Amino acid sequence: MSTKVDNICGTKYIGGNICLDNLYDRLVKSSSTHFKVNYNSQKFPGLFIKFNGNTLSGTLLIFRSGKINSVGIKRPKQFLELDKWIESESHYV
Amino acid sequence: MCDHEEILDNEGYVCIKCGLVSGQEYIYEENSFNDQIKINKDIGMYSSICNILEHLQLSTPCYADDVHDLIDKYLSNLKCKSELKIGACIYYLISSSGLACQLNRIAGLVCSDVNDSKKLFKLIQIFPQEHTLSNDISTLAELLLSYANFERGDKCKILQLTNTLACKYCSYSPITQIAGISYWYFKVHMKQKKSLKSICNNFLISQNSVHLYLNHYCVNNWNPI
Repeated sequence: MSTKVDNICGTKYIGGNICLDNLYDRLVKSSSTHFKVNYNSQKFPGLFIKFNGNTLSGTLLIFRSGKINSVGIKRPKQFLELDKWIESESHYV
Repeated sequence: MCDHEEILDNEGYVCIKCGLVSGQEYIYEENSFNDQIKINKDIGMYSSICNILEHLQLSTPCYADDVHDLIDKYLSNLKCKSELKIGACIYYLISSSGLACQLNRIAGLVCSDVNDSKKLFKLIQIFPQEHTLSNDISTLAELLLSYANFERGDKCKILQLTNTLACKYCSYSPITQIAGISYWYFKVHMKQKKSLKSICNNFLISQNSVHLYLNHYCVNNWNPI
């Protein structure tokens, strides 16, 4: 028998509301190749940012309330890197 | 059909009965043959595209070829129902043209169950990311109200109310908010008896989410105009 860490999840609250429409527009315009953004408010109220694993890995789910969930992370180091990315971007929202 | 009686004219052989120039007939027949080949390439798919576009009250000549090309470009290797591919392409095409589009309206036509709806949503995600107006509540309200069987004055008032009352930071779907505002408008503002069921049927959504939205704290702050 063996046990290993497979999927690390985290939650974060940035302390205020997030306008997802503006955030989506900004991320799409940035045309970054490091992540793929997906937001369809008719289907799900959150915005998905899926990192492709080159620089960062995992997926972020961002909600209007200011809560951010990070999922699909394999190592604690990746989690910390993702957290840094959120910190660097949070002043734009 | 004219059984041509040709005479030699300046431009070539011309039929004295119908005025047809023989050369033109040849060119016309060649073109129509090419068109036929193009259509025969996937006639089943093409007719499905036209059928779905007609049900969505969209112009077939404007969109049919583009939808066909998009399927070839992005979705040809995927194994799923062709109707789902068509639905995803139509949604992307309309959204990228700067128009709002209701996903439920397309899903209602091309999906037979919940799994199909999930597949349709996944297919939409394959297309390149672009600014979409399908998330914009005022543009979406214009679209939804155009389908609704309300009076013109009511539609204008609901549109105004949507722009002022819709909560930017509310997690409810924009369609739920529009339906909730419409219900509130008829009940509180107009004192009319309009059932939530009939409003939700107009917008192709269930009553549950609208009912929850109407009990949400931000609705309590609304005042009749």
